[in-house]
Amino acid sequence: MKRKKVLILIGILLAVTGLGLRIWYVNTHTYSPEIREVPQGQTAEYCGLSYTIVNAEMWNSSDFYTQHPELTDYQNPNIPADEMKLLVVEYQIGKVQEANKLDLYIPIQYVHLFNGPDPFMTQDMNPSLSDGNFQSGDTVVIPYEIYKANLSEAQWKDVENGKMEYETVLGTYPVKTEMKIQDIRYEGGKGQ
Amino acid sequence: MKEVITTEMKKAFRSKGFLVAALSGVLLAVIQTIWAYQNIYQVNMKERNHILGLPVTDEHYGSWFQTYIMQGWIGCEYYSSFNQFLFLALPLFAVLPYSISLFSEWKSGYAMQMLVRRGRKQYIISKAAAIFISGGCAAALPLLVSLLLSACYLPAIGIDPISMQNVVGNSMMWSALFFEKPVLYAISYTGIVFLYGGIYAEIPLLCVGWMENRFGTLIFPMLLHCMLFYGVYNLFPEFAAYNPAMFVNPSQLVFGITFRGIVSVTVAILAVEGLLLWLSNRRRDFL
Repeated sequence: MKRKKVLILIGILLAVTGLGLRIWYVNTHTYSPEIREVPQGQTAEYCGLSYTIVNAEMWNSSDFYTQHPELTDYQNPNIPADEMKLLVVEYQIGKVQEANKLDLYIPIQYVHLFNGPDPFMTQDMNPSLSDGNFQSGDTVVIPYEIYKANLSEAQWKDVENGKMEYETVLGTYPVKTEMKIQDIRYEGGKGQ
Repeated sequence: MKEVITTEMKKAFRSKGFLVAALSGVLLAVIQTIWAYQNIYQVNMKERNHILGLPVTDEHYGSWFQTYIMQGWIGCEYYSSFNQFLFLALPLFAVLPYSISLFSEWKSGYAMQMLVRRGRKQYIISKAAAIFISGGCAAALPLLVSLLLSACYLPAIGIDPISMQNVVGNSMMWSALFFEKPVLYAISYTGIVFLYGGIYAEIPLLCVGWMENRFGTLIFPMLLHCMLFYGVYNLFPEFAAYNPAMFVNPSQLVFGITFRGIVSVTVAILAVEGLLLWLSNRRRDFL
């Protein structure tokens, strides 16, 4: 009886050790991407194109649509103006090689969120690109809508006070390039 | 009191019902893990090999995301129906171990013996404690087994939100834990499931005085759960964040769930259960 108990105990110990080793192995052999951080103003290359953030502006929703009345169709009437902001980022795009497709779906990430741009609004804000052609050195303006509903109270305060950190993401694997959006001009000023 | 509680605990954890519930839970977790390994992890790894084989200038190059532990854990794995099945059958897992014991013991006359020997208060409290803990364990077991099995092939790191595979959003309860310490999120939420397993397991105990049918007593918590999940949720969607059938799922099926809300609802339910337990046993004194 005692021998049986010892054998069971050894079995349990072996199983626990085996599981522990397996979990340790899985967590030390992950396929995490190499993170490449690029400060604002510096150029990053991705899929045959080069991207440089040349300007970033944070707008209150109401101010933005007052300034751009041609875009009011994109204003969601169900969301109060003070619960949404727009981060407008201007990128300079270059061709690393000829014959490249310009993909304007460039997302940004902040806290545990990411925002992709509205493709139609992006198209309307960049009429020069509507024929599908672009030249090296052209600039592209991409608006990102930031909603209070997706953030906690503290995080929304950080957005209003200019303490939130944003990054443009180019590619996720094997290299994840994060272009820092550090120098943001706050149209209408920061919140208090 | 301690002796009675120990006896009831031993009876609860050595019961056939607990064995059936535990084995069913473990089996469900194992089947779900095999499904997730084949249909999530292996597919993802094939995609990685494909992406790595593309030229750097290809438009699809660079778009791949690692699969993380929360995508395999049954509590948050929403690619298959295992999560929905587990949380629909949760009350059944909870009542199987020991909930029906008082009903059986009243029928057999054992309860009367215990009342005379140990006193009503000791017997009923010990019974309630054993039912609560065994029911909670039976409900939480599949989640813990699934977490352990998922950890054997998926890294215990948070999901990259840009992959859009996160069932918990940034503004939801414990989102920081979900993204940064997923194992802690899973264990914390398993605690909530344990509590509700216990709460559901207590319901048949409260029905003993009023229900005569054994099967009806056993199935009643599941009916109540389905009513909360389908009926109450659709009738009063504005209160969904306070609906136990909704917030007990670690996937957080609705917006607005808060820890404070869960605590308030849980305390209210436990108070009602305590009151009903007291009332149902007071009433028997007059019979």
